[in-house]
Amino acid sequence: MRRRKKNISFYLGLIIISLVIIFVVMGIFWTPYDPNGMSAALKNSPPSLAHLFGTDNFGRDILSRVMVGAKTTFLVAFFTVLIGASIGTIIGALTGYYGGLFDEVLMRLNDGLASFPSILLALVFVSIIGTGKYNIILALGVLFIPSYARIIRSEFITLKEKDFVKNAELMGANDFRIMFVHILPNTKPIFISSVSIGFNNAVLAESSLSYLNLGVQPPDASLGRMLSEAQPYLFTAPWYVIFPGIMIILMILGFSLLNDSV
Amino acid sequence: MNTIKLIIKKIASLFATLIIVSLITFLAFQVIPGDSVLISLGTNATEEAIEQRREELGLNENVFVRYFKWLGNAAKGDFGTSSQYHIKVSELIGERLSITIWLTIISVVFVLLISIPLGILASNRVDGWIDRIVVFLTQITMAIPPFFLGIIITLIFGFILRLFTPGRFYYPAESFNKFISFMVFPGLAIAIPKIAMVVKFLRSSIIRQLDTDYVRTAKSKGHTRAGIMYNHVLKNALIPVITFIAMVIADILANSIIIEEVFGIPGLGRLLVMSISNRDYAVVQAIVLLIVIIIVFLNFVVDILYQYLDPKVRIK
Repeated sequence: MRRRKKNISFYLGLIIISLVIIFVVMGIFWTPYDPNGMSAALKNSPPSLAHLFGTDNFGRDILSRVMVGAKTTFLVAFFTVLIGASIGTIIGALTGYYGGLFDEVLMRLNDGLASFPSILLALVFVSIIGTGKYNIILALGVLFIPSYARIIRSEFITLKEKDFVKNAELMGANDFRIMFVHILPNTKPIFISSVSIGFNNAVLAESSLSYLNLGVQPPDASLGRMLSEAQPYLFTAPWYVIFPGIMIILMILGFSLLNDSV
Repeated sequence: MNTIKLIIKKIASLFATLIIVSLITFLAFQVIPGDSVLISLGTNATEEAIEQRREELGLNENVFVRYFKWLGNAAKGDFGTSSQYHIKVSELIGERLSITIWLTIISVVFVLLISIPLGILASNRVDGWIDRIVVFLTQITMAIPPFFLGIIITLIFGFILRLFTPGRFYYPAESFNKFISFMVFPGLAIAIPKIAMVVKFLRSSIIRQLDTDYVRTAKSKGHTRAGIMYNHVLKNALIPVITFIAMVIADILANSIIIEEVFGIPGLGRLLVMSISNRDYAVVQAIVLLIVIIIVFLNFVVDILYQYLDPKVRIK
């Protein structure tokens, strides 16, 4: 019974993620209309066959803009997780394996950082280095390092006492080989789940920052920014708000369904 | 004896954390590219004017001397002057802080009132139809960004059902009732995803307890389901939830930053976002420090509470 239920949410998650990825990849090469093409005649027109998601206050096609915006959000989240996970893993591996003063200092810093809610830290970073696509990737990427470092570190601390590690040590393997060939592959399950949680947090953080106009800046379209632009037309053109919002929900939901069933 | 020792240890670590978070907050704003003096005076300021301003602001001193000065003033409630509004930061923050705290309290009340009964209801019959519906709903609602939920709530309750006027905020001084009845909606927007998180956490905590030996013993002794649930399982299952709720409260406080923007509430979050856009660093620094200090104290209280409630931790 439990097994089957898990499978259903796994496949549902897989389907949602595949659709999102197809949507994003398509948005890189082709959109039905020019996402920035304006038309006075089409201002705030509701969804129709010609414009499936309707048009916005400038007469721009919302479907095309959602495709481009989803691409921005997806890529920002992807690179954020890439930076956070790779640097975090290296730091976590070194501190977990060697311990010592360096480990002690980093962990204290980590404890301090853990007291800051992540959106607050993201805002601090943005106020320091500024807004825009690349700054957001940098800010969120750096922000994500401590959580990966913490997870990988605690895995390394438990795993380094295991017999297979002692065995490799006796065989004369060097530290580098033990850390990255013997121990690291064993952190895979927890690593995968923290990557998918991280991806969700990144999508949420990017769209929140862009909603506050402190994230991705025009001409780059972003789902969060679309929502803030759409809010004044909430009553007259509700479709303008709903489609970008649903896109964000699908991105987050897909990965959390997958993660729950792994 | 042991308790006193423990509390002293906890207080020491509270101070250590406060020092670390304040140091992070202070140092973060020391690496800002571009000179704050140049920004305030303009690029064609004379050499002497710049030097005089630097001296005035104490920028020529060692970074640690400046940190302790800043911290000392902050402890007295003096966070400097806003470069945008030219008034004391503490004045600027005053009323806005209370609005944000009200919003947080309303959201937390929603979370506690809804999530705990719902979590118990769901785990009463694991995999029953109520449980399935609750699990499905928590899965969906956790994926909704709070600001989007805020917009949807505005659309449904504001524009369609007309239960409140979007954008018409009342100050508590104007009319406290109107203030609360407005704040219920942003409160809901923050609370709903958190309710889902707490329900999910509580449910799995209860399920873990239901699998234990003491529950089996109680069952074999002929205790009723409800009796086992309320007398044994809940006591144990709620302990980890308390720590989790502290985390959730911190998150709620942070989320209010965004929700205030959605509903046009003149609270701390709105001031923070505006000050970031205006590069008004004294205000940004003060708000960040305030929020983090509230969170650190919250964690401290929960930690003490946890020691008191969980016998397994108490013995140590």
